[in-house]
Amino acid sequence: MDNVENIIARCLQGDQAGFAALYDQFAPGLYRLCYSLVLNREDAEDVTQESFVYAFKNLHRYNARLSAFKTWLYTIAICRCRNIYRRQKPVLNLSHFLPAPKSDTPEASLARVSAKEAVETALAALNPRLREAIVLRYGHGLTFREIAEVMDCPPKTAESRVRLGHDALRGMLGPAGQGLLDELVSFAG
Amino acid sequence: MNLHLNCNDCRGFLPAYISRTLPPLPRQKVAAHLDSCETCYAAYVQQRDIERELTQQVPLIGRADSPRLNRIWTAVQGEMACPRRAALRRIPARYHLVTIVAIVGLLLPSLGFQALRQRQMALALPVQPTPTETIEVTSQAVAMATAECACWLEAASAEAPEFTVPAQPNYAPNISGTQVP
Repeated sequence: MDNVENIIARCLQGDQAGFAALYDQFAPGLYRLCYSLVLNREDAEDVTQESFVYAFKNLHRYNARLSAFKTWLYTIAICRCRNIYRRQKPVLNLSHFLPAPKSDTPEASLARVSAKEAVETALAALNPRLREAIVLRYGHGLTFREIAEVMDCPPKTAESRVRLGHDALRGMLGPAGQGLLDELVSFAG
Repeated sequence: MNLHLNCNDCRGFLPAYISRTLPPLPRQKVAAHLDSCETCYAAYVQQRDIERELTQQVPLIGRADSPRLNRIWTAVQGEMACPRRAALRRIPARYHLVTIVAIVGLLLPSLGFQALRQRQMALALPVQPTPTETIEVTSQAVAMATAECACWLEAASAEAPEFTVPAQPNYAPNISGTQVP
């Protein structure tokens, strides 16, 4: 696979296949980020689409020496997500879940879905800034420095937001996690 | 080397300790404190478990299936080809109204100022005097004036001295009056 700089260079020369390659590489992650933040599929689709259109139209402005393309793209998406949740409060939509792998037993699948549901519910209850930090850290594996770039704040602030989010989630997930564990033990027994 | 650390500092270092981003010296201090403090160790275990759970569960949230991503890609291509004019449509009508009122509000004072200035300039211009009596120009008066002018020219030419053309072609009178031997 070509590296991102080469693909971007191809795009700037007008190669349409380059845009498709960029989309294939970054769309799943970007959609996941948008959904985790706005917690609504339609809004997540809109934000993903708008972010890609903006990025493709302003590709000449991207400077690889300043940040990674992924970070730049996430910054664009986060700004649009902020506009969304400034307009409306996030509405949880828990009806869509991933299909379970075939190897899963129904009980394990239920437990897995419950754990995901618990995390999603806890995330929805978090302050948006803390949710952004937690999603970027645990959902996308960004370093504190990258989180700071995306969230436009100092790295120490990003670190403290992750810590605060972590503390808040610990309070919310603690009992649920214990309940899930009990549920799994009873199924195993 | 002093490895002493209090509980508050240790709790502050825990996220970085768990994510392995702590420099070696503070890491040693945290490890030493966790060995000796039961409360901090319990907090560490709880935080580590939640971190693991988040690392496993958060990436599962919002995964898009292929049809959805294809649909978004089609929309992106469509918008790249012919950009939608949704930007204006999405702005509520009340914003258009406010914009128009603001533009009118900005334009009115400047228009009023211009009108005032034009009026001041018109007042400052001198007024053309009105003629007190009208002289009727007739053909007789024109003939009289022409004859008068002719008489005057004749008298002027009679009073003027006669001009003699010099014999030499490039004659120029010597003003300084120097005598050349």
